[in-house]
Amino acid sequence: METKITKEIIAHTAKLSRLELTEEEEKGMEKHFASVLGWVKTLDAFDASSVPATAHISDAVNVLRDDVPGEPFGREKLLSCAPERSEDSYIVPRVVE
Amino acid sequence: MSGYVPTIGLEVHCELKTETKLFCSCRNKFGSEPNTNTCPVCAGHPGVLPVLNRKAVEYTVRAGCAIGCKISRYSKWDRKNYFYPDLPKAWQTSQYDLPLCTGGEVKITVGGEEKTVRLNRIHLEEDAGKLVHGAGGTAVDYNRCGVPLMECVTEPDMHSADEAVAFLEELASVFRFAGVSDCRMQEGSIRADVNLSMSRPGEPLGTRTETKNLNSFRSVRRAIEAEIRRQTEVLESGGKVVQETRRFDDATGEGYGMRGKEDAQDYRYFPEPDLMPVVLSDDDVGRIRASLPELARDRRKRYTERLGLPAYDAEQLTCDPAVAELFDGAVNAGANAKKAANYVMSEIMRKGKTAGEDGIIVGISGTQLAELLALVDKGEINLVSSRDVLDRIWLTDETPSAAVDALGLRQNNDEGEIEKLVRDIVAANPGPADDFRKGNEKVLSFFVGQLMKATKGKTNPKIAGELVRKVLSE
Amino acid sequence: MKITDMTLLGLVRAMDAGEVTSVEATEATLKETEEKKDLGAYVTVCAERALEEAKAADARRRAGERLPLLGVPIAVKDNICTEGVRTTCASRFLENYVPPYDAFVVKKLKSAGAVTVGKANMDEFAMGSGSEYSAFYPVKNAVDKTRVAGGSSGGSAVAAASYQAFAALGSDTGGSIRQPASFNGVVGLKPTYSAVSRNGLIAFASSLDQIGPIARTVGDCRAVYDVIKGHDAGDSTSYAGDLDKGERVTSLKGRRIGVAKEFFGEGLDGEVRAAVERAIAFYAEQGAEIVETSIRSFDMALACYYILSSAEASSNLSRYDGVKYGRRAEGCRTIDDIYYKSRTEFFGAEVKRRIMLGNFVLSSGYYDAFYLRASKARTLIKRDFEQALSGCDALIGPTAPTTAYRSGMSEADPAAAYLGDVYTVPVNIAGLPAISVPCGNGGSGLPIGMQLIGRPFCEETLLSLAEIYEKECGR
Repeated sequence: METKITKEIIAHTAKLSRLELTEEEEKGMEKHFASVLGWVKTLDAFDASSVPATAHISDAVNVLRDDVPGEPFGREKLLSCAPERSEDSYIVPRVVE
Repeated sequence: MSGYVPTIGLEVHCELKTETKLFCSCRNKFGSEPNTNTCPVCAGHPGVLPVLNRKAVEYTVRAGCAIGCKISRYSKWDRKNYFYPDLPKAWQTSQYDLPLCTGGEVKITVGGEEKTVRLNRIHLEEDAGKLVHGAGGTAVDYNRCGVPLMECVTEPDMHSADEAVAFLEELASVFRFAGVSDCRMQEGSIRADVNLSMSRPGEPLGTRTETKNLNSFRSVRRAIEAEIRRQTEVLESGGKVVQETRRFDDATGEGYGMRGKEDAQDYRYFPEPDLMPVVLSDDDVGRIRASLPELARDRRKRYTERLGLPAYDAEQLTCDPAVAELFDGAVNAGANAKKAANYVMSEIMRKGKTAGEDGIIVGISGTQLAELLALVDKGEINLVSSRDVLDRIWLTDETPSAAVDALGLRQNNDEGEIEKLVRDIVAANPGPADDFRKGNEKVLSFFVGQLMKATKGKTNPKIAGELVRKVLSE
Repeated sequence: MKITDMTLLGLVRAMDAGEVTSVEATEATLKETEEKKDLGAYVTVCAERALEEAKAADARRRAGERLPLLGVPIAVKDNICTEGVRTTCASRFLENYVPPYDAFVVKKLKSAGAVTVGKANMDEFAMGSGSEYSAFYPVKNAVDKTRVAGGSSGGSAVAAASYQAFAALGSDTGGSIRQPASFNGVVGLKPTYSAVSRNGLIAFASSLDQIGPIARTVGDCRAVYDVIKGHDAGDSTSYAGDLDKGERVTSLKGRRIGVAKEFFGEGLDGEVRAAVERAIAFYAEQGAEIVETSIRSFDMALACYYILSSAEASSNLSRYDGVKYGRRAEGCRTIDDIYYKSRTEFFGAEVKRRIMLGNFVLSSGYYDAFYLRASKARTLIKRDFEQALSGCDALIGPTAPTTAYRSGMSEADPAAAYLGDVYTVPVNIAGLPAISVPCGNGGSGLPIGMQLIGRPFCEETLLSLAEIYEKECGR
């Protein structure tokens, strides 16, 4: 399959990634995408309709835990990692929807 | 008349009432101090891994059984990726193409007519945190992050706000009776998104909008009505409805579009590598199905058909599973069905309702209620003093009989003793006694009242009335 | 003999015999870290903490306690969470992140009595093959400072190779343990996927990541692996079955070693090929039957790997958003500012490339052609390895196509640098165990590594096969 990597694709992907790219970085990214995705033609060598996808290496199923509460972890241990916080919460600039 | 008819589909989110969250052993508890029910897993720290809560799977399957869904024998987990400050990992673990339940239906009655609303699916996912907007910024609380959430998606089978609200009420009742969710709107444990489009009969469906995150039956109704008005106006003025995500502002009663969110709606779903699939055998499903309690609809049927209660009573008794449980418990412990129903509908519901707006707190067991009713029946106490007994045993294990003794409420049924008291009171009130003899029956209650006052209400009122009449008639 | 020259097992014996103390070993190790600071093996050296742990270990030993790693100074890759010790993933984003919890393997090391020397440098978020993409400073090759250490566990490999630790933990998503082990002349074991818990390993690509040991000898690798392996209820992918399906090979008579021709194709350096062929000849001389085999889907592995690993990474790294931990860019006025500015400022170029690629292959309209197709290719690659390994005890081949290359080459053409992972990534795709063992040096004295690939949970087969070679041909 041929996918032409365009400037628009790079710009859209940067948005999905929450990254700002300089023009130069965009160009570099275009080139990089083209090289790596160029190898994708090696994947054309099989009939995809007859092969199931593998998402996990192991075939384990039903890995479950009992519904029993653990000890409280301690809010301060987590909040102390935050770049901005109040006494009890993480703080971000006012979010408007 | 425009001739446009709304077509409505709902996505309903219900929080499961498990002890712990979906993927970590933090408590699933509403109303805690911000961020106290969090750990590195639900706060999305680097390196953490999820482990699935067995109960959450069982509850979702049970919910599916309650509304006749097909239970998937194989289901899996997917990541739904998007950035938002209430989502610490920046993805929501959800189920994309293989949900736990598919199909199913809910029967509703609107304007005396029964209708069926089909479900498309129920899947299990994790809830997001809570944002509190203030002047200095937005505070983020992850207590709700990772709480197990069922998403129930309907087919577009509803055509009015009434039908949508009736569906929500019935779904909430089913889930409450199934014991899987409290469905408390106040606490946000049930929330709905409304998909709505307008079209003329016979024409293809119009462009739909999605109004997100409505958290009361009232706002669902108002949002639907507002959106019907808005889309109708747009169409009638020759405009086009734009497919968009909207919010409804409860304060203004208006909806508004969330601009700029559209191109970000590429969720890049892919299989969650950190969670293994869920495989259910027929035995598993059978076992979960067997754990399903009797639902409201079935109970109502039993109450009217087997216990001979009026439809109104059956409706009242099934307003809440705890109420129905209490009633059934009392009947099982030997109480007369109608008497128990009356007592539950008057005394218990009055007392229980004060405790919380959302639902009812039931503070006594069926056995306690049956015994209390028996005490009233046998004349050990009267109805009025039964309230004092109720107050005392509420949320305790004390038997009503012990409470009656402790409160000294046991009623005097000794006719000789009562007659003596009556004679004293009649003698002390010659005026009213004369009135009776002249034919004024009303004074009877005056004498009974005096007697009750003198004995602090502990006289059998039936015996008292009879004896007052007897003495006055002599 | 310097204390640091001892093997890990030798040190344990010497400490048990009362000949040296853990404090002495730790002090000697810390001295090496001071003297070899220019190699950049560590992001953080925990000198004080390590000495305290060493003292405690000595006290326990005096009290008669015997534990597999009691008092042994070990390095931990800086993408493995250590409670109270900064864990950066060699990224600006996490340069101030002190985890509130220990990784499962760190708990295991502690309960085995190990002393943590420090946190080993690496490619940022384990993305890279040279350890040049550390946001702080690159790791230099232990043999030749003008060359790369390999990566992404370059700090771990160099720490072990240059006596700055008796062993190290690394992580391997597409070769990140084996390739730097090969470049620095040490042994690196990538265990079967799910044999070692990933709980507390900062995720790069969750379905491929695996923690494993790097050490100077095969025996030392085994000692560390025996401690860190095992089921963990906190990792849903952790294997709950028998982890010891392998066997301790003592004689090569009747053993079959597979040679897949795809591992000896175009791009393989002549001297590397020659060294690996000599090792194959050694096994044959010892009585092993050399079996020709094939991994027909081998050519798909690189594309498959870069699509799947980048896709998972793009999602795993979305959590770095400047809200909960780590850095936040200055002067942000909106939440989007925080996301864009923080991620733009604190992620390095290679990390951005992977995030971009990953988001692209998952995005609407491209998922089927890229992500889904790669997931299907994975099925084929896994099958081909299963088939090849059904006829032999292990596959043998080179770990990397070349010896350590000169620093500064990757950035010029990042995609070309990915080609260096060609022999290691198929193993992660198939989830198999593999070990890289030194098998001689190239003309310039640079170490060459050979790779043995085994059946699931047959680490011991690989370790013992490697040990036979090491005993006869090793240093």
